[in-house]
Amino acid sequence: MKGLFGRFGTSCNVEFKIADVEKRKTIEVQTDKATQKLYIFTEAEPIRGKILAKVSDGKKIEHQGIKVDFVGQIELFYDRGNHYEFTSLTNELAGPGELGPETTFEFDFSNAEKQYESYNGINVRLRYFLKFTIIRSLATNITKEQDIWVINFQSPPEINNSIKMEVGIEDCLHIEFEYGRSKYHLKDVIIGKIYFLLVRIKIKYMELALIKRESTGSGPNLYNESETLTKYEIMDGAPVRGESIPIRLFLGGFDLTPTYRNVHNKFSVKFYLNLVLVDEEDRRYFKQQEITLWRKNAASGIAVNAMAQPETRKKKKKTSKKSPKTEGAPDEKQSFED
Amino acid sequence: VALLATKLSVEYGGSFSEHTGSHTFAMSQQQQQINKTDINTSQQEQEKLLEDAKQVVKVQAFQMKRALDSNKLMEALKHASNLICELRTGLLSPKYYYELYIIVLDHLRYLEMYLGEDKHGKSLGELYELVQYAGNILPRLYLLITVGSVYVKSKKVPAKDVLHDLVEMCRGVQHPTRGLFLRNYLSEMTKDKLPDEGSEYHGAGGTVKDAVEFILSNFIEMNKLWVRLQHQAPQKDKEKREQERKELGLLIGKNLSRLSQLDGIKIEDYKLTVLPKILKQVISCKDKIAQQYLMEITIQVFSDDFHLQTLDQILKTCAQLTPEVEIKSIIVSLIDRLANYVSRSPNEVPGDIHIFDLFYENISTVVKSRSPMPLENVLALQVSLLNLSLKVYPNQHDYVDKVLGFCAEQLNQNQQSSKELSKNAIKEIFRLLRIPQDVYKNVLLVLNLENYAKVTNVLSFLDRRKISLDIVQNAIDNDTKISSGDEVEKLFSFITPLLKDETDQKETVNDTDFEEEQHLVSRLVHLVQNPNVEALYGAYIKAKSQFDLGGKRKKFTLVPLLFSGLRLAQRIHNGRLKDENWEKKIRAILKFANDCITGIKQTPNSSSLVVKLYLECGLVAGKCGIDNFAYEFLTQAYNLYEEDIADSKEKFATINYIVNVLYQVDCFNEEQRDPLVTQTVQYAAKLVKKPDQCRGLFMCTHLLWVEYNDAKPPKKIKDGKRVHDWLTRAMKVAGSVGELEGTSNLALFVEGLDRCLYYYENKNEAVTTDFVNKLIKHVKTKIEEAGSSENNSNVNLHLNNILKHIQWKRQNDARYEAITI
Repeated sequence: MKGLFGRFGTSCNVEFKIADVEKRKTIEVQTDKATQKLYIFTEAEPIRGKILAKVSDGKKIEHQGIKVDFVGQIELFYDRGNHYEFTSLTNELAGPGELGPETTFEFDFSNAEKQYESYNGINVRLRYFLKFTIIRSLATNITKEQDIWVINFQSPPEINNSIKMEVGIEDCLHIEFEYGRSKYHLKDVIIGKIYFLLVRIKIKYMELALIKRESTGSGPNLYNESETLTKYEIMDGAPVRGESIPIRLFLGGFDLTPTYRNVHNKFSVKFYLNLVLVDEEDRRYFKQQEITLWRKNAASGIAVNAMAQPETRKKKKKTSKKSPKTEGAPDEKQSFED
Repeated sequence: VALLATKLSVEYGGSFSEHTGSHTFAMSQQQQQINKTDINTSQQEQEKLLEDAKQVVKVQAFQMKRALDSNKLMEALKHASNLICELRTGLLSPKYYYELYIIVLDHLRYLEMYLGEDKHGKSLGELYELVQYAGNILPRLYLLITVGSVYVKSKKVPAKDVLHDLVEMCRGVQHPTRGLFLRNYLSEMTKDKLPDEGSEYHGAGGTVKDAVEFILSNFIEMNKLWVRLQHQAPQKDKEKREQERKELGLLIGKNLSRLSQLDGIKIEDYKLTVLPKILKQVISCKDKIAQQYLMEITIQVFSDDFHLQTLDQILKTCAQLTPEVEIKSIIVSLIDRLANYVSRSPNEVPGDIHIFDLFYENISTVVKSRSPMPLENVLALQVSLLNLSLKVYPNQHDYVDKVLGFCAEQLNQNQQSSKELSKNAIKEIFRLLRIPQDVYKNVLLVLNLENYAKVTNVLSFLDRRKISLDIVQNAIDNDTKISSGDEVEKLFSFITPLLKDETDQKETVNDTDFEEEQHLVSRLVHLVQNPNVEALYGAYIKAKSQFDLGGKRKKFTLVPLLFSGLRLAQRIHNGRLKDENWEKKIRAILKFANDCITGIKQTPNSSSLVVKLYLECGLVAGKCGIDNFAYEFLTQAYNLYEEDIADSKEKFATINYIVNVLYQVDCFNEEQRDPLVTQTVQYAAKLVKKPDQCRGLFMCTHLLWVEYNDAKPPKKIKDGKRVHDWLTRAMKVAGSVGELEGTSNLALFVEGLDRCLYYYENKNEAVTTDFVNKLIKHVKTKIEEAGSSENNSNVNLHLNNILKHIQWKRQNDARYEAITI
């Protein structure tokens, strides 16, 4: 019995030694338990390495076989325990036998499919991990997992139009806003401009909010979570018609992911710019626009111009039919009703 | 308006419930309530608010400095941002806001110094991006400017790029007060970092064009904010707001003076780019305070030669300013500046610039386009223009006339609408009229101005009188020669208020002033001069015809004219050898003189004056050998003496005068002279007071003992016997005085002795040694009787002098030995 119990009590110390980690970047990820430091892989990178298994006290473990799996799965928090594996590869490491006091196994997932990026959201997590398993017939399998973090660089979008729109509330507030592009890489800077075509309310300030929206599930189990990543004041005080206000928002300082659309039919992560004008009665006038974020290969250089400015658009203004009004004076009469 | 593609969503109240994302460095998020714009708080509340804000700033500044000292940049930036956040208040009035602003700036300087020291290990480019993560725009921009200025200074980036970026980003602050101060900070921080020519930032950092663009852009935005400040207050606070705005004007004006300090701006740039942009902003802002101030500043800060080249632009702008702007002072300051400049350096004016015409045309346009402009302002403008034309074109009298013509037109329009002239308008008219006088220093030149009188005529009598006095005084002061009848006529036509009673004369001038004024006018006569006697005589005649209208003034004005005539007569007489018509001319002048006297006679209380004038005329006539005229003048004098001179003192003085004249006239024959002399003696004998009688007789004796060596032929009148008789008669009169009045006749005796000795010396045989001795003895006795007293010390002195004279005579004249002293 002692042996039996002893076997049960035998602990096995498993250590993953992923190859070439010296040069690999890491990321701190907050998981259920604690903050983990994970190695970052990109889509095509092979995952190789060794696993060192130590059985304590010089004992041996009898097993039905030893393997290591590479798993990519999506965990939805509302559906705990029900994980969707979208990829799974196995390396058989040993046939049934005994595991000695110290054994090193090699594994190689050169062709591991990593089409999605790792993601740690509010209601959903997408994770990749290596899972070492000692299969045993009588006892529970001994397992050990090691997460890795996957990012995928994207090539610059071929089409990247500006976002330009005239919006307003009739006879009250007309503005035209313009964001230089609709797609931004994660360290990009959003350059834009807001033209005031008509102002009859007393605006107190204007801000630009960067919002992240995570949608998970479908049907009755659809969950949307919005998170304001930043509120960025871009104007203080009330402009008069004809004013144009510059926008320059650096993205590099925020914790962003690329836009994820319908990842494995399980979740999406989208980003929006919300332009908000607040008047003196604290009414908020806003317009939300989706922007697409993408991950640019850092190696190709991500330096942004700290002085980037929207192109001046004066020419267009001049061709507009409206006679240029007094530049400094306010509109004739200010009606604050909307 | 284009159809709206999309509607904005509106949400009422409330604020975001979502939590805020983490920034690179945390920003305080006290956003919502702070931006209220109600600054209608009492001074006490304002001070309290300021104190609170200062307290926060103090704490944050302390923490910022501590962080900097321990090289914790991020933490320092956080505190810096917090302290700047105090400037986000909308509760402080500009005055208090300024105080807070200064304090904040002081602390930012510390940060600036640190950033420049390169201890933080970050590149300035990184810092420039880093501070842009600040969530609130105001601290973000203050920090950006601070970092930006250090960045420029490091020369790791072209100055123009940073300047352009900063000035553009500042557009985010549209609140007037906050925006103005922010932009002022921008302006202050960059003032020594502009890529002006000669600056270390020039070249790679940009050109002066970039500097100009930067300043102009900041100027335009600041002005817009400044103007907006006015419109964001309730109507009832208008005046308070205007006052505040005026105080803030300095901030906007600084941009212009900074522009003017750029060495790289050449006149062409100024003319084609800089000024047009400034003026465009001035016009388009349509705000009276801004327009007024900016025009004045523009004129003040840019150099004179720039103004010279751009006069047209500036003046045309004036016409486009809003009606409330007081453009008078703007144009006046411009004119005055240029006038001074040109008179200082006359060669600086390019030949193709006609300053006067430019001003004249533009001012006319302005005045017409902005009517009704207050008349006094219109006139003040013209006064300045007048000054300019006199300084710049001293010889272009037509310019002056043009100005006066314009004023006359305006004044007439005003008169037709029967508006009263304001005090200030009158003041300006006076300046219009006086300045040419003062500058020309020749009233005749002034009076040649056709429009001068037109302007004068709108004034009231008393004001016209003042101007007339100025003209006269000016002529006298500058010794302006008036040489013809025409000139006399012209001059006199300008001073009629002094020459005759005017129809609109309601007020009377008081006697002292009247006399002073007339004395002044009479001095004018002496200015009438001409070497040509005919011309001069013609001028006198013209003068007389004007003076004749003067009523009581004639007593003052005709007298000098008469004397001038007499001098002319003598001048002709002196030149008679070259002029065969001399006698005719003198007769004409003497008749003219007689006419003058006739005029004077008509004024009251003029008798004794007229007697003397007749005598003067007689004397001159006599000297000129016109004996019948001389006789007539004297008889006229005698007649008037008899009829009108009653006062005994005057009588005595007149006899004195008569004797004098008669003694000098040498042209009479005996038939003419004898009756005159006899008549004179009778007048003397009839004098009421005995001493007068006595002295009168003494004088008359000389009429019987005279030599006329210049007469043709020379003659002598030596009637020694009658001299003796009259002397004796006079002594008797003297004796009769003594009987009643004691010693008072002593003087008469001594005087008699003196006269006797005169005749003794001149060998009048009727005056014998014996006669003299008796007289001396008599006098001495009388003096001894009287004894010596203070009263007769003069008499004693006189007597002693006489005796000394006799002793002195004894040395070379034996006849005196016989006289006993």
